Amino acid sequence: MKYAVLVYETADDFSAREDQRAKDYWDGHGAYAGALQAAGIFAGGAGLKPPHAATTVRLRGGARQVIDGPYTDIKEQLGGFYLIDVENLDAALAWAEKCPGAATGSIEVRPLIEMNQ
Amino acid sequence: MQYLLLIYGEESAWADISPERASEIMQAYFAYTDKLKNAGVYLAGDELDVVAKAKSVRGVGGTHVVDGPFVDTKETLGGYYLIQCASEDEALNWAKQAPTMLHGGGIELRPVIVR
Amino acid sequence: MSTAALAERVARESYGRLIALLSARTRDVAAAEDALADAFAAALVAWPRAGAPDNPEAWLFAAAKRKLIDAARRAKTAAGGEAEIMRGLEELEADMSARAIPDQRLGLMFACAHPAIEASVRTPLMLQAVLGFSAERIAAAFLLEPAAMGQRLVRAKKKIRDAGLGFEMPGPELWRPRIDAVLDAIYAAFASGWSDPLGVDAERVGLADEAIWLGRVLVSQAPDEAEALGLLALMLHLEARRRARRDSEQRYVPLDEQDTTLWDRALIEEAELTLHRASALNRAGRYQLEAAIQSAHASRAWRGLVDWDAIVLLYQALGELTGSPVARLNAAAAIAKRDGPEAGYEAAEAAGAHYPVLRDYQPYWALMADLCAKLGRTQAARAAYDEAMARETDGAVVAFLKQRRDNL
Repeated sequence: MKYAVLVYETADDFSAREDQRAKDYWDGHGAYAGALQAAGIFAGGAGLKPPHAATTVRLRGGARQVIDGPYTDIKEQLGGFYLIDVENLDAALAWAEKCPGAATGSIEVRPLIEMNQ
Repeated sequence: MQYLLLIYGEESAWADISPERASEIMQAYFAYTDKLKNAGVYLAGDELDVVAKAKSVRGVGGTHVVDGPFVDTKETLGGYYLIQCASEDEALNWAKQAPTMLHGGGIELRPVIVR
Repeated sequence: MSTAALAERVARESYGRLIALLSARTRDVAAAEDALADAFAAALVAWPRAGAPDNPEAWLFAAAKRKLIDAARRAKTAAGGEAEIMRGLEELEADMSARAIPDQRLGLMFACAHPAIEASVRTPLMLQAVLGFSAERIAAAFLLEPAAMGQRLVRAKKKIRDAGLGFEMPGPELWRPRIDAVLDAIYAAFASGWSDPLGVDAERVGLADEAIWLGRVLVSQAPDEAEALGLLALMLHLEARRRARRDSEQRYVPLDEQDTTLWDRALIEEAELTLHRASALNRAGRYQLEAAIQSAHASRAWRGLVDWDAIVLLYQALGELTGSPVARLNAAAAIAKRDGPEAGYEAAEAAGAHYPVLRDYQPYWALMADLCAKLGRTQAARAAYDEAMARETDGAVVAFLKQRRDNL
């Protein structure tokens, strides 16, 4: 059976990615992913950029509504996700608008962390 | 650049839905997934089961487990892992070992619907 | 010219262009600002010693580029890494000819006014990124706390960098809403400066000028965008009348009583030429309509009278286009001038009924008061002047309204 392990972080957690705790932070996730892979159960994963990088899109009456920031309301629940690779935010927003969920719910568009090459 | 499209919707709207309408919506999603793949932008995608089937894990080492989704205004989604497990207990065990649990962060474990 | 004066001139003319160039590839406006600030500091040391360079902009660009690369090397979590930044900047240097810096300011302005940037921070962001305004100056101009303004600007710039908000031109399907957002952001800066006609507010002094500067940049970058020309024409017309808006005793002077010899003819001429260019493009829009209205008012300077019929039609067109209650109200005011107070009163009353929000709008009550006075309804006029005064914060305007009420 497939499960999603959704990691929720505080503003301080997000800071830990870049301050003096960075090495421990990234080593920790690297070790965890490694352990999942060694156990043969890893089916994917991603680190997200913090909420300031998020944009929320809705399609209402055929018109696109774009809001700066993550989805923060409690009326709607997370029901699924897509991971896409596109040129820039505009391209991502264009795809988000086409998602069936956009017409009745909200699509949060969040960039992934870029790992150094 | 890689982006996650997080799909938020009112679960209660699904509660009274007719089978025809449910099928319509699913077809729409299949069509959308095809579009993404044909455009060469699709990397992954999954449908999550309802929040009632979620488990939220808190406390150092994940000592505190409650039913239901993770709801806290101070925390936002920072990432996710997808795992294949034989049972929910096994999955929960792995969730408790996520690095964020070392300092008492928050994890929501949600079953993924595989059609 | 002293090197300090040269640096100042370059800062004035080239700041926005350099920022846009330095941030276009990396989308990192904040890093570009820091690097350019360091480059200017270095220039103020190096130029007096070695003499001013032939191409100061190129000198500054090269210096800022080096600082950017150094900063990228030091940063532990540079997205994409130092190599990518270097590649981007070297491509840029190849673009630069001896005299001309490529102009990416339009892309930068589009980024600042992107829908994914929260609406109220777009104007501040544009003022900072393109004109180099400090957060303190922007905060004061918009009556906000400087610390809060600073934080919001930092967050907005992070958003551009981290969300992949590119400086690319929007495609044809998205051009209209995106350029309109840029125009609205520039006009918001102008309006903030224009609401302080005497320039008593140190931070808002020159804001109208800066907005006009941005308008000119936009027109130079998008010469076929009729609404950009319309916005520039509008701002020029309004700015042309600045000195006439208050009399020698700093009292409010209504538009139709202004001394036209105080109007700036050069600005009016430029406004008319710009509006003419816009109409030749045959793509009507809100800003062009507003500019045409101001043009009709300006013609009093050489015709001695105002074409109120034209103004009525223009406001009605504007109202139809935008659904704006204010346009409808202004149409009523113009109807009063063209057809008399009775017709004007009916039109204003209808506007207020159709748009209840007008009842919170000072000019609505001022118009009702004026028309009631002309119709001999003194009681109603007095009450309306009271309503108007209660909704006005500019002391000179309140004094004017009080004067009118006392003269009933």
